[in-house]
Amino acid sequence: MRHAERYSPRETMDDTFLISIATFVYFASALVFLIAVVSRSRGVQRAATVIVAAGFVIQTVSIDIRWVLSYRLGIGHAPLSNFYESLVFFSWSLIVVLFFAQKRYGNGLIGAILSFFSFILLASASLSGSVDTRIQPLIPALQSNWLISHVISAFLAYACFALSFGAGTLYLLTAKIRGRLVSRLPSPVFFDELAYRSISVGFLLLTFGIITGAVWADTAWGRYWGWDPKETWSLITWMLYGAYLHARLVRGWTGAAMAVISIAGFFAVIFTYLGVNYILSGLHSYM
Amino acid sequence: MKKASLTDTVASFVVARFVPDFQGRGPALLGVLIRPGEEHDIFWIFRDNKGHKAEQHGGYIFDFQDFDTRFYTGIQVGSDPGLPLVWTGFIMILIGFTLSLLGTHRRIWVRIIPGQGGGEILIAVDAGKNRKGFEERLDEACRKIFTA
Repeated sequence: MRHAERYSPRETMDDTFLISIATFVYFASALVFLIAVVSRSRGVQRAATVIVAAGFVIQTVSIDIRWVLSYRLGIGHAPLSNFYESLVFFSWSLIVVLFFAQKRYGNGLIGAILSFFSFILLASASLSGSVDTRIQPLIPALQSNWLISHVISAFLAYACFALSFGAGTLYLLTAKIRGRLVSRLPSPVFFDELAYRSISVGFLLLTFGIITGAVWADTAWGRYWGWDPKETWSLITWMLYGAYLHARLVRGWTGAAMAVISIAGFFAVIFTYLGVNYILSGLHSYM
Repeated sequence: MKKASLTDTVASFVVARFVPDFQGRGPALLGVLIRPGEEHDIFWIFRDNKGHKAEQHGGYIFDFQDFDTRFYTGIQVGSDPGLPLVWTGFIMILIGFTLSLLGTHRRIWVRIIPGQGGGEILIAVDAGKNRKGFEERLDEACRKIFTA
């Protein structure tokens, strides 16, 4: 009885508590990254990297705890299924992309943008109080290992698109505005290239996510594609980024037009992620 | 739902819904009485009627005496002869995108023309795509080479 009480869904504060710690750690790392950019200090940037890594470890432990708890409750699935878990995993994916992009480009602004996005996601997951943090069972039709590959690739793609959104916005900012603060930022060409790179990787991951989703849908519902709102919107998103890559690679577009598409593309991502849950109802409404 | 014709008339009766327990009042049926030229008469009929025995509508008496549940199983069987084709397509699209997005076809020609006092270096390039990005990277490379 005591055992059952301890792991009853409402009592499991352990994993959500760690998430609320990670929320503040990411806020701190976003600030320190920003200071590193403004002060152009390598030491500060190294400190910011250490902070974000600490937050990442805390968050990963929290996800693992939740995974173990779900098995102890007899529900037994990866913590990738309800809205709370998706917010946490989205933020985790952003940090994964942060590490890769940071390693490749070494610019603290990437760290600042992605830590800040991560902070917002975790804050809305754990602090708003309106998001149900309980571990919920998964309907039998969806219990499959495709869940893991589908969700991981989709969210890593979203994270890449979030970075390209930040890069596109900063492109427009640095290309149009002159000032002392802006002069501390990298050149517009850097952001243009960054948006393109992250969209290339994101597009590949999104393609993989849609394919694994289709295979999963076939095993669960007997069809690869059923024009569920989420499926339709993921196709719209895919086509927008496909248009971006086509315009750039085949037609040779660069600059403002590309930045605008990368921003528009991210709105499609947000709609695929949230709008489908809030506004349209369908098989993917995991509220 | 089965439509039952009522004896000797053109009227018919349909059970539109069955509720095992209607708000604690026991099993109930939502019945629809259809008579030509008149509006449908829709009403609930309870098995455990307290007070009156049966529902009276349009000159008929409807009495819900009892019900019986039966179990059934549905099985869907599918055949997918195109499955290898689907998988081939999926794998090809992924390999194709990986190659085209993460790899580029680039050619660089460097010609060194010896001459008096150092000679000349001629560099020509061609990129299959992302020429702009390649151009910038090449400019950077040239700067490094020629300032060294």
